[in-house]
Parts: sequence; structure tokens; C-alpha cells
Amino acid sequence: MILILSNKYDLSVDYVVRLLSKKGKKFLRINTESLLNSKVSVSFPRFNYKIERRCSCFDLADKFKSVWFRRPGKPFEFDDQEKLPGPSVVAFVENQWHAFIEGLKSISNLFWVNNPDDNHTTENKILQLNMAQRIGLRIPKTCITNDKGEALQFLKDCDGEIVAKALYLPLIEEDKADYFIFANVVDTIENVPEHEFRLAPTIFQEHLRDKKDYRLTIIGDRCFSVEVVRESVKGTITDWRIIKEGIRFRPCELPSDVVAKCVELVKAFGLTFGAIDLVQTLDDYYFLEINPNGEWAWLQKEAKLPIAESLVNVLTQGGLEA
Amino acid sequence: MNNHEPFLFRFKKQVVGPSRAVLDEKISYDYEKDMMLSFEDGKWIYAIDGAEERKTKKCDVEKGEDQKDGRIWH
Repeated sequence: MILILSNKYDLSVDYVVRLLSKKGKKFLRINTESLLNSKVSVSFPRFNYKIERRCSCFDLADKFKSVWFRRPGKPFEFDDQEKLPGPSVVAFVENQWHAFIEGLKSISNLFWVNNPDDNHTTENKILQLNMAQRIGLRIPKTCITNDKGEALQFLKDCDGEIVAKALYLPLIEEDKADYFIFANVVDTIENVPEHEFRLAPTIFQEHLRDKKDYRLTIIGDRCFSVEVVRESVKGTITDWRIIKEGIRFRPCELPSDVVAKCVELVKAFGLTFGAIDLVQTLDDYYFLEINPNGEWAWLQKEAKLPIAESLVNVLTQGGLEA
Repeated sequence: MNNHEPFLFRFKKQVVGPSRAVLDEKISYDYEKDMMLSFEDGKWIYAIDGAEERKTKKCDVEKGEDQKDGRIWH
């Protein structure tokens, strides 16, 4: 049996659920924001991990061979925000349920897509770049620093143009609005006060010009590649995620050695699933980053890539495809 | 911009973050099918088959943007 942990608004899961149902495979989808409406218990010494949901009781420590750890929802996440308990209660409840879900890692012989610990490790961009380089993927010249002098020297070394991006979570949530920091081309930092740099390390990378962007979705040994095609956008785009219209995703074949290294990278982090961004310049392919829990449903629908089918295969097999 | 913001804040662009996203009221979760349904042309269909591009809670930078959920939980 397959366990799916996500939230009810995660439409990516729906693609997999439909396939599992068609194939008659047994699964349990738990939208974790709704766990408050279920009865749960974990008991020792006979180890049980029980969830009672809509009159059915499941022992997660028994008969489940795979877990798809997608995007678990938090308690109260989709509830009327004006009817919630106080923030301290919300935080306490969230923490207890988080520990309950985290405890699933104690169930032996479960195949995870992906183990949340591996996801967490992989999200570190310094680890990503280091691992990619060790595997033999080319990476852009990079300087991660909070030192304006270092940044200035790096800018000079890169012929006066670099890309600046966040080292971690680029989302800024303020009281009245949210903001996001995409990758940005920088050609002057002389006039930026030094303390702005000191506050947080920033990733600076050489600006790769005349590039093509690729997204690789890797599941075990399978790789689904698309080229990001800008149909109505002129010039080089530093960060294609900024574009809302006039962008298409065209399935493509990449050189086998590049693909093999990307597959190796996913495995090196202990992952089954990984979404990798690559760019191609006139001289080579460059690794930009990997997201261990990247989105893919937009590729399933638009580029007709059988990503859900591949996920269903690994989940039903309880391991990687042969 | 104030004196206490990191350099990268100079480049911040406004988006609708997951905590501010308005949930799609045209879809409804079917607890028997364990999938979202949407009501289109007078009938209920799977939301993933609908003509409208559905947004998840990650909202307006959905395509290709993967880091808005951060560490998923914590």
C-alpha cells in the first residue's frame, strides 16, 4: 500500500491518485491539514502507527511499503483565519502534528519519495554546488559572500556583470504584502552601503549569456527534460520564472553524459525525485540548482510528460524502476 | 528600502505568497475520489482536466517556482 502525504489543494497529487485508482493500486492519501479530524495513535511495545479516517483504520507500520512526502498541509491551514485559536495554540498544535508525521521515519522498510531529511539537506545551495562540481557537472563561477570587497572583486573578475540571488528561501513575507527575490543581473555595486552586504551572505555568479534554459525532472534513473522556450520574449531572460506569458516547455533530449550526471546528483543526495535547472551556453551545460520537491504538474499537462506514471511506478514497486 | 535591509531586498518583486493566496472556490475536494473536482459547463469534472488553469496555494509564481514552500513545514 502507498501512503501519500500532502494537502487537499495539491493538484499534482491528483494526477498520481487518478493513475493509482485506474490501476487498482491501494493507497491512502492523507491531507495532513485534516489530521485534526482523524483519530491517531502510536503504541509500544508492539509498534503501531494508527490513523482512523472516515470509519477506516490504517496501521501505517504495517502493509505500507512506500511514502510520497509531497507537501503536507499544516493544521488550520485552510480554515477561516478569523476563527482560529490564538497563535500560541496554533504553533503548539502544528508542532505536535509535525512530530507525529516526522515519527513515520521510524517505520522500517518504507520507501520514501523523498525522505524529508534528504530534502532538507538538498535545499542547501552550497551543498548543491559542491556536490554538482564533484560529480563533474559544470557550475557557474560562484562567490557566496557578505563582504562587499569580495563582491566587487568578483564583479571585476566576471567582466563587470554578475547574477545575484538568495542563498536560501527567497520569499519575504511582510504584514501587507509578500515579495520574492528572483535572480538578478548586477553591473554595479560601488554605491551600495557595505552594511547591506554584511546583513546576509548572497550568491553571486558569473552571468551566463546567450543561454538556453532546461528543466530536468528526475525520478530514479528516468529523466524528463524540457527546454524553456521564450516565444514572445526578446533578449536574454535571467530568470524565466518571472515570465508569465509567452513561454513554453518543449520536451527535448540532452546529452547522455549530462543526464547521467544529473541522475547521479539526485542519487548522491539520497533522493528518488529531483527537479534540476540547467542552462546551455555556447560552450557547455551548467548546473544551476536542484529542488528536491520541485513542481512538475505543469509539465505533465503542457508538455505531456508522463511524470505521474513514473512516480506511480516507483511508488507501487516500493523502489526504483529496473 | 531602509537601512536595515539586505542587499538583495533591492530586487524584491511583489508576489502573492502561499499564506496570502486566495483559495480557489470553484473547486471542491471529493473525499471518495481523493481528488479535486471543478464545476464546468454544468457538470463536475476532475479539476486537473478543467479548461481553467488551476492555481494551488503557491499561487502566482507556480510554474517552475519551487521554493515558496521552503522547508515545507518549519
